[in-house]
Amino acid sequence: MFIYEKKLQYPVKIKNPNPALAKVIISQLGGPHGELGAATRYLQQRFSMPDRRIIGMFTDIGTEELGHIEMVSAILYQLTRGLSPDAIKKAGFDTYFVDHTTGVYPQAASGVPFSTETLSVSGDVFADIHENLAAEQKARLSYDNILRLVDDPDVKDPIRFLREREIVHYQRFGDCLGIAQETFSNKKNFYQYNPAFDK
Amino acid sequence: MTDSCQALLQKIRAIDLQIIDSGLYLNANPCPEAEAFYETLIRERAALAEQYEQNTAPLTKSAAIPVSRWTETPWPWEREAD
Repeated sequence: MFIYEKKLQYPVKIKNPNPALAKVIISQLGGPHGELGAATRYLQQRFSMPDRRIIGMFTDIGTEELGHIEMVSAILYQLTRGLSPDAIKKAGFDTYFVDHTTGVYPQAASGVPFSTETLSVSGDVFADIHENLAAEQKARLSYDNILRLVDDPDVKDPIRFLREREIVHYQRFGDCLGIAQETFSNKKNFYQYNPAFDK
Repeated sequence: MTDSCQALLQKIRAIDLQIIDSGLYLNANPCPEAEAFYETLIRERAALAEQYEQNTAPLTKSAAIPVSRWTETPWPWEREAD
């Protein structure tokens, strides 16, 4: 069961709207390395994890990612407040605006809507943990690329926070891989079998 | 899980449904009597949760003391959690 806490994990306070920036940052909501995919991926992978410690990690990280969906959405909301039709056209935001106005729709920067094809639930313990290690690196690189494109310190600050969290999550999925190897392999090989299915 | 813990968890589920349902209603329909009822439910729920968490397992991570109880007790979809 989930309950909601009425706060952002890290504050978002952006003074100047900037729809051109929203156009790229939206990828971290609904793009291939985005927070919506991350949260759903980890929370859905839990059911084939055969170790309570690994389930705990996936639960906690997946739950935190739900909070990151909200943070990225808050950034998008604040970047697209009070826009004139002229500002919308100048920023090239018109192609988004025509279908979504300034609603916060999960899509990639390229305009491709969020796809569940970007999240993997393989039912294989080692494959899923490796998937998540890669996913955290991919999210980190998207935040790095966003930071290369952003000058506004109000935007950079929460993006830097989110980038740091990807690094911490990468470390903790590394711990999960260690637990899985320690518990389910003969330790000489990194991978032997799928402990969720092959008993 | 023992029968008494199971019964306590079922009580929490029942009161949670009352809280969720009356909370949804009160979002759009202010009503002093219903608000008083809602507050009674919240207090009752807190007492039940404390009892359950002391005897069985943490319901939230912040109630996992020591924190190792978070990863030692069964997850809700495990059959042992029944």
